[in-house]
Amino acid sequence: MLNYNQIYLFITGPLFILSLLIFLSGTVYQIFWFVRATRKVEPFIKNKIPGKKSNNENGNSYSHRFNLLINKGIKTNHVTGFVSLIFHLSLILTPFIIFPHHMILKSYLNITLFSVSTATADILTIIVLVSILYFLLRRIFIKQVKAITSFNDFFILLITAAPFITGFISYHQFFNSEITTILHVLSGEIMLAAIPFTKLVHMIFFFINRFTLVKTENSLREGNRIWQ
Amino acid sequence: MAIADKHEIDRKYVNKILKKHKFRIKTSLKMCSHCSLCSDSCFLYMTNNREYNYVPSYKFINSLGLIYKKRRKLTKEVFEKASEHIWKDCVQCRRCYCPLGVDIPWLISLARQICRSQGIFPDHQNMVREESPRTVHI
Repeated sequence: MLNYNQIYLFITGPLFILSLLIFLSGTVYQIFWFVRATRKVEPFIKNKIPGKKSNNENGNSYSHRFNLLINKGIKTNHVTGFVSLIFHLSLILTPFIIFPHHMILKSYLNITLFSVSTATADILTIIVLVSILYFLLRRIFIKQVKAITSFNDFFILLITAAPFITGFISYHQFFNSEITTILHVLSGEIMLAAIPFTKLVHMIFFFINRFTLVKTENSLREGNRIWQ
Repeated sequence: MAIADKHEIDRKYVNKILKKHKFRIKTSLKMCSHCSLCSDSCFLYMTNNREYNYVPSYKFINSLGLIYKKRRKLTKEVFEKASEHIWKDCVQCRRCYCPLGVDIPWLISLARQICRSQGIFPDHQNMVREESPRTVHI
């Protein structure tokens, strides 16, 4: 019968490396197929107007396009846009700035990083969980969202919420902290491995679409690739 | 929608078109996080009582998405269902905006291309509405 220490060492060692490898290889796979499905364009095809000095003229500045990104799609959805923004910022920031993760990093790699206080970490976690609840309720009660919702959407909400719920419970030791710690690590690894192969791939393609493709209304930078 | 009865669905040709754009279609379908933030950028949605069938993501998921999903078992019924959304519910104005960068008009335009290749065209006579949509100041 395996004891807690053996299980913990296994899931934070080989299993974590495996999930990281799956994430990295999946990301490389997606980028590889994106490069194959697109091609570089010759300079004269690029969206340049003769006589125009720079792309900062005529409202094509980065700030204008960033405003377009933030405002156009969410102009009448202020609440959803705001919730989405703070959700994504908290989701990405939290794992990298909390003390328990830095403690593990120090013990494995002897790297010391800046950590936020427990209260701040709790606030960020609650922001993520409340945002996920908001998205879940939108999917159930709002007609136009319900019409396009599928099982996958609930699945990715679950795998995104699981590490935060189990991490919160484990840190505050509400239940058996050994079990909740194992569940937290496992759920985090499942989420990491699932990113390139589920709808969470929008994390990768959000940036690829906006920075590498030839300028469209979606672009934040003028890229040099177009679809084949 | 008008479907040419004398023509059978040419699955091989449809699959050839889908295979050519396979990665882009698959990625767009996967990237769409079903947030429905594109809905308010569609004027048809805004002027038709915000009915869900005008949501841009709903249109491409239930047209090209449906054709792609059923690509191995394509039948006339699949095209009938798909063509409802791409001819009647979309005018290809390119106003729709996706926060994740999915090119929705291109996807619907590809669905139209596939439908046309199978002899499926909009039935304009039956698409005229009895009452004109009311003007809404957005």
